[in-house]
Amino acid sequence: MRSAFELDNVTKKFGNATALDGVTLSIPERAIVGLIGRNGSGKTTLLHHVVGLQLPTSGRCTTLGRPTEMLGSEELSRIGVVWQEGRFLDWMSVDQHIRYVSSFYEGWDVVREQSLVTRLELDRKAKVGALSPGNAQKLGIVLAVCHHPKLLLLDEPMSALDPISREHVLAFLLELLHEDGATTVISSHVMRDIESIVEWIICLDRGRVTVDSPLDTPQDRYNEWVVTSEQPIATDFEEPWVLSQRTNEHKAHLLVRDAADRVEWFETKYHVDVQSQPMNLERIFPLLHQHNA
Amino acid sequence: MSWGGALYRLLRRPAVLAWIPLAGFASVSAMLAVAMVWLWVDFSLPGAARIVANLAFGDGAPMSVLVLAFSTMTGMFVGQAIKELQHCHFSWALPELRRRLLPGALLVGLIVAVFAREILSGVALLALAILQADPMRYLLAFWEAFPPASVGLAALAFMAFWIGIRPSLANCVGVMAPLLVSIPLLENAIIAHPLVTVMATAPLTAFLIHETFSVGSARARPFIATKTLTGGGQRASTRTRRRGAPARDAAWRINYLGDQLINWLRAGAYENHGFRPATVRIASILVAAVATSYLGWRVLDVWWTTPGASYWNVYGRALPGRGGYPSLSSLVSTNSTFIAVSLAVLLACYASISLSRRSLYPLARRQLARIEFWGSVAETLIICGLMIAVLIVFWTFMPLAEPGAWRRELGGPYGWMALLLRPLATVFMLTPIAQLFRLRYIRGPVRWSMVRERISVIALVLILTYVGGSIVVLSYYVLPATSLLGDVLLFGAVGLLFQSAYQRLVEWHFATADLV
Repeated sequence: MRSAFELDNVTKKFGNATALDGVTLSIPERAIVGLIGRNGSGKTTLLHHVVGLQLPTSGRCTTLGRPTEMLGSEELSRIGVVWQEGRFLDWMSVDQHIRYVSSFYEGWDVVREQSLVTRLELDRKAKVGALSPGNAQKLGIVLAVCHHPKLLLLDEPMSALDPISREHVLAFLLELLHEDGATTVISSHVMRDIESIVEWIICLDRGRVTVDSPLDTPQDRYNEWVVTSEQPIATDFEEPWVLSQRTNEHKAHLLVRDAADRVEWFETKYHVDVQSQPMNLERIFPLLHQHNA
Repeated sequence: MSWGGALYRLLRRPAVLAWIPLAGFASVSAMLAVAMVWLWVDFSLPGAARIVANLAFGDGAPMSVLVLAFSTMTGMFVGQAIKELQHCHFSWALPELRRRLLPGALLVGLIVAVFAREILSGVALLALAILQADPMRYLLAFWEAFPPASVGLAALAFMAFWIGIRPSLANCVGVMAPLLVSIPLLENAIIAHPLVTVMATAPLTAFLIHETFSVGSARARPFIATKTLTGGGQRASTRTRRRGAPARDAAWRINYLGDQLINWLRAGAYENHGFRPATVRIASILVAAVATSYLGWRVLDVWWTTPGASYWNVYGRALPGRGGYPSLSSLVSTNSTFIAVSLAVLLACYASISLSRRSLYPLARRQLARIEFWGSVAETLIICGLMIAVLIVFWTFMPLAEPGAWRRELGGPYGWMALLLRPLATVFMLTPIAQLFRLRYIRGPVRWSMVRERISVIALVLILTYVGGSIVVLSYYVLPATSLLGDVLLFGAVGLLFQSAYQRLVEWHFATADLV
C-alpha cells in the first residue's frame, strides 16, 4: 500500500533543543492515526514537517509522494489541516474567512460547508478574532475539510470543544472518513476522543517515537488485573512485568504488561484469583511514557 | 511594594539587555551616517553639495531627532513594563500598584529627558568634533548652549517619553512624525523660548501621565494576558479587536485564485488591509500633506531666511564659515529621500501586502517566494507613486514662490523628473532591506516580543533614513549632474541590482527556512 507520508530518520533542532530525534514513520493511505504525546513532545513539529512548513535538520520527509520541500499546489490542495492554536485572520468575519479560504481550492464543497456550519452552530457574522477558543476550533474544522482533502491533519482539534460539539465533530469525522477515505492523523491529549476513531497509534516522547503500532497492540499488551484472595494479600509483587500495584487486605489492582499468558501461573504461585480487564488508551498513555513501551 | 521596589520591577528585567544595545546601535549608526557626510562635507564637497549636506543634516537636527526617538523608545519600553505589571493576572493582589509605579516612571522619564539630551548629543557631538579635527569649536558651542537650550528640548523629550508609554504605535507615529520632521525648524524657537516650550508641552504630558495611571484607564483593560517583553504571542488568535479599531467588512469576490500571481497579490492585500479605499485615500492624503508641508517649510526656510546660507547653527550658536547658494533641486532630493525612505521602511514593516502564515496555502515554496518578491515590488512602487504625487504637488505650488528661479533650478520642462530619480532609486535600494527584515523577523518563525520588534523597527527607520540621505548627498558629489537619461540608466540599474539581490535572498529564504 502506498504511503500518505513518510519520515525517514528525521531530526529537527531549534538551537540546542531537539524537537524531533531520528523519527522514522510511514503512514499508509486511508489510515486513521492517533498521534499522542505529552506537551512539547514534538507532535505539532511533526505535523509541520508533513506539510512542509518546517524543514528537517537532517533526514527526509515525503508527503503524497513528494519531498515536503517540493510540495506543490497539486499536493497541498489535497491536504487539510486544523492547527491547535488556530491560525486565522482576526479581522474577518466567519463568513468572510470561509469565502476567502474557499477561493484557494477549485473543488470547494459549498453543501458540506453549509451543513457543517449549521451543525456546529457557527455564527457566520461573528468576528474571527472575537471567537471563543471552541468556536475557533469549529471554524478551523470547516476550513480544513470542505475541499475534500486526501490527507487530513488534526492538531488537537477538539481540546476546546464542549461535549455536544465534540459529539458532532466526532460524528462528522466518522462520516467524512467513510465518504472521502482520507488519511487522517489526529493529534490529541484527550485519548477518549480519538480512541473510537483511530486504528493506529503513534506515541511521541521528547521527539522520539515510542509507539508505532495498531491501536490493539498496546491494548493487548497492557491490562489491569484485579487480584482477589480469601487470605490477606500481604505480598508486594516483584515480577518485572507488574508495572504498578494498589493493594488492600483481600484485593489488589495490578497494571501489567505482556502478561496475558501468565494468569494461571500467577494464580498458582500466589493462591489468588485473577480477573484480567482491558484498559482504555487514557490509562495506557501514562504507562507508555513511564515505561517507554 | 514600595515605589522603589516598583521602580526596580520596572527596570530590572532581561529586556533591558536587549533594549540598550538596540537603542545604542540605532543612535550610533544614524550618527555615524551623518558624521560620514559631514566629514565629506568639510574635506571634499564643493559648494552646492556641501550646502545640501549642511541643510539636510545640519542645524543639530539629527541629534534632536535622535533625542526624541531615544525618549520614545525608552517610553515604549517602560510603558510595556507598566502594562505588564498593571494588567497581568495577579496585579489585583498588589496594593496601590498604580500609585507606586508613578514615581518610578516619572523618575525614569526625567532622567531620559535630561540625560538623553545631554549625554546622547554630547557623545555624538564629541565624535563629530574628533572626526572634524576641530573639537574645541564644537565643544565650546555645546557647553555654552547647555543650560537654557536644554530645558526646552528636555521638555519635548519628556513628552515624547510619555507618548511612547501610552498610545499605540499608530498614534505614536502619528504624533511623533510631525514632531520629528519639524524639529529642525522648531529647534531655534525651542532653544530661544524654553519656558514657552515647557508650558506648551505640559498639558499633553500631564494628560498622558493621567491616562497611564488613572483608575478608569486601568479598568478599561483589566487583567488581560499581556504580551511579555521577552516572549512573543502578540498575534495570538484569541486576541480581540482593539477598542475603537475600525471593522473591515469588505467582501472577497474572487471565487478561485488558481496560480495567477495577481490574484495572490490581491489576496495578500485583502488579508492585510481588507479593501478599504476610503481609508487608503485618507492615509495617502495625510501622508502627502505631512510630507509636502515638511518639504515646503524646509525649502522655503532655506530660500527666504538663509540666502547664502552664511551661518550654521549648533545648539543656539551660529558658526561662521559656510557660504554659497544651495542647489534647490538637490536639497529637495535629499529631503525627499528622508521622507520616502522612512515611509517605505515603516510601510514595509507594518503595512505590507505579503501573505500571512496563518493559512496553509496550496502554493509551493517557489510560488510563495515569487508572490513575496512581487508583493514587495508592488509595495515599493506604491511608495514611489506616493512620493511622486507628493513631489508633483510640491512642484506645482513652488513656482508661486519664485517661478523664475525654480524653473532655472529645474533645468527645463523635464527637470522635475531629476528631482524624483535619486530619492526613488534610494527607495528601490533600501526598501528591500526592510522587507527582508520583515520576512525574517517580524513575520519570521520565531516571534519577537512587541517591544523588541518596535524598537528594532524604529532603529531600522532611523538607520536607513540617514543612510539613504547620505547616499543621495554623496551622489550629488560623485555625480553632480548627468543627463536625465544618464541618471535614469544609472540609478535604474543600481535599483534593479538591489531588487535582484533581494529576489535571490527571498528565494533562498523560502527554499531553506521554516515558514512557521
